[in-house]
Amino acid sequence: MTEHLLEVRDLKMHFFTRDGVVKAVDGVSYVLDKGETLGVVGESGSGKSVHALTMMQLVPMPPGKVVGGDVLFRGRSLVSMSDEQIRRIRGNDIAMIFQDPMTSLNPVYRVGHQVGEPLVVHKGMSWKEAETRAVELLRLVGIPHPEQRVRDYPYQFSGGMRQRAMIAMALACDPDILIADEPTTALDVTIQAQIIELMQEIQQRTGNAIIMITHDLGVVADVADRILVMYAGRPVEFGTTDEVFYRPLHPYTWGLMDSIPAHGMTEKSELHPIKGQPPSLIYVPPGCAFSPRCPYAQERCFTEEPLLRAVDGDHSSACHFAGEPGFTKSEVALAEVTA
Amino acid sequence: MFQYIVRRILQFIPVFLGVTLLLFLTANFLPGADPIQLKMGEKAIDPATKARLLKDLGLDRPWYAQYGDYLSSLSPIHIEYYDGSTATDDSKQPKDTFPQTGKVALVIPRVSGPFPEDGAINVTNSWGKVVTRGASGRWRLGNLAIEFDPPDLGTSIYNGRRVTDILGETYPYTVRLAICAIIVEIIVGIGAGVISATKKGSFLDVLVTLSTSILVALPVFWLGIMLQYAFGIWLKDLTGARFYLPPTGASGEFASWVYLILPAITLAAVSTAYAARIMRSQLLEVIGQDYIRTAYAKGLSRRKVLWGHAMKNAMIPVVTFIGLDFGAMLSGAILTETVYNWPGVGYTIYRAIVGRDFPIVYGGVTVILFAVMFVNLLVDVSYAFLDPRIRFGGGEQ
Repeated sequence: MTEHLLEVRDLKMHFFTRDGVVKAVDGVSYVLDKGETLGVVGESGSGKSVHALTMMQLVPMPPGKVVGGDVLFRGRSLVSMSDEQIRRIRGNDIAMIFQDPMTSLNPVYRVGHQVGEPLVVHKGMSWKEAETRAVELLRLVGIPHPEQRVRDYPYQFSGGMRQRAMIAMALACDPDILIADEPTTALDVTIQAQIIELMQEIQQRTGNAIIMITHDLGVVADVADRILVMYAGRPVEFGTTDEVFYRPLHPYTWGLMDSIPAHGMTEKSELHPIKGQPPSLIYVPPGCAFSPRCPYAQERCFTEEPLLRAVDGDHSSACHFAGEPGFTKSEVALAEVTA
Repeated sequence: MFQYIVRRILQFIPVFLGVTLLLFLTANFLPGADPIQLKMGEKAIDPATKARLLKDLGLDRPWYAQYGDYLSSLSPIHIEYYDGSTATDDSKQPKDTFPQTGKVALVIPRVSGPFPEDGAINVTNSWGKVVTRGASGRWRLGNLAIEFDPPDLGTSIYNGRRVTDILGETYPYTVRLAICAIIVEIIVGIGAGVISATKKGSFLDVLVTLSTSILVALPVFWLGIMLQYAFGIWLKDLTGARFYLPPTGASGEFASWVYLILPAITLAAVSTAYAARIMRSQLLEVIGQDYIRTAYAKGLSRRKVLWGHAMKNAMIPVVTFIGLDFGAMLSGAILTETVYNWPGVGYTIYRAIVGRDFPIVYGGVTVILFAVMFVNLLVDVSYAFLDPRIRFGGGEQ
């Protein structure tokens, strides 16, 4: 068996709170290889961010606890590492970019200091060397006049520039894996595209793997090789980007796609949201977690939990009916129209 | 940065004028025995004597004239205008025109006679004191004479001593006590707050939270008396007079510090508790921020995240609090100084108020005002040092 860069095996992260056990991540598995981009898609509270934070041991424990599964990075278990061991991985082998660039940079340190800090910590550089390197990194991520901007404070940067600085910081030690947790959510649409392009460019140059966590299918459509759709802490669909977009196998994925406002829509056209709310992660519905919101749910869906299973090659779905003849997005829609 | 400091210093001027004006108004309308009566004791005073005393002390004039006298004697720069008239030998000696009833002293005083070219001149100033002005200390600018004088705070009504001398003796005691108290506050307050925040929910955290809640509710004088009892009597009995505070026979430089222990703890107690609570809540808030998660994600150790990234942010409000508290301590701790018989400026001013010894009150408040303003400036500068958004005058948020 060849060793994968990253292998997530049935990872379960639960939070033990006063109100009950929150099953934030409940059985996620996938593999990631060098140069690949994985898109992790889901609504708020689907566990997509928590699963990434769990790998980095950035979830406060307690109340959080890994109750099962493992994450292997180059064959080494990340979840059972000591503080010191995981510290050497963070920012060095696996780096992370966060959602809100406005609050993710420390307001009292110069940008150059913060971008260069991983180099001082992991590569043993002096602060002077790190700052020189920070200028190059800022230039790499497209910040104009990096020689001057390196001495600026975060508040002197715009949102897009801050996210570029965050990317520069994440790239400082040339990590194998870059985890981007909703990197464009807090940015203007025009800036979003620039940031995504930048990350693709850098991936081509450095060959690192990217885990792109987002609620926006549009973001992953362009960049991801494969897509993992999550719902209520569980994976519901996994496949290549083409498979997930053109032959989606789970009613939740269909719902996500329908809820994207189509091009050429007028203000009079109706939006198609998924009805209902995501379930409480303490009282996850029995059977399929999506069943209360699923328009195609049968009796079986409310009692029997469907497992993620390969339906078409590696393309897998956690729906009882996936793969049955006639149970595809277009055919079901057609049947609805004719009925 | 330089501009910032200059701006802050300029802002002091209206504050200074406001405080001193308010002080003069309050003192003037303060009911109670008049200072002359208090000075003379129980005896009846001959009205002529009383009038002379009042005139000598400059108290016979309205409050605004007294305020003018005060400002002009405080100013290190004195300007006089010579009208150049030829006067008789007798009036050749220039007089201060300040003590003229009803004249607001902020106008440049007018002196008869030509500008004195050389030689020392004796002048009676507004506080009734004869000062010798050497010709060398004067600068001539046409008919204006400009002179530089050290600020003068007048003399005590009660015993005639110079107020600057009295404050020169008492203020070092207050400063010394304040420095010791602030050191206690910085070490214990910040230390307890940091321990409490980093070990949230632990026994130590509960201990800090509980003890600070009790401390902020304690009256200072009661705490002072209890500490004296505990360390001076109870501990002495317990150890068979081998150890107690303050120890007898302490002398020299050592004694001056050893006597400070209990007063410093008493003075620092309440604000230390506040400092610990502010430190705790600030650090807890900062630890929850996104940039702390970023710092961890970079691979920084817990210690580096705490001291490098969290503390610099969390310290900003703590520095402000401790700085302002140091200013408050420099203005004299009346309760602590009274309980410990500490001859500081707070106790001195308190006695001066009771005795209507206005020059001491004015002088004391003036010195305190400058001390507090200076400390506030230091706080602001350090605040700007800690927070770049303030240093560069803004930015968003």
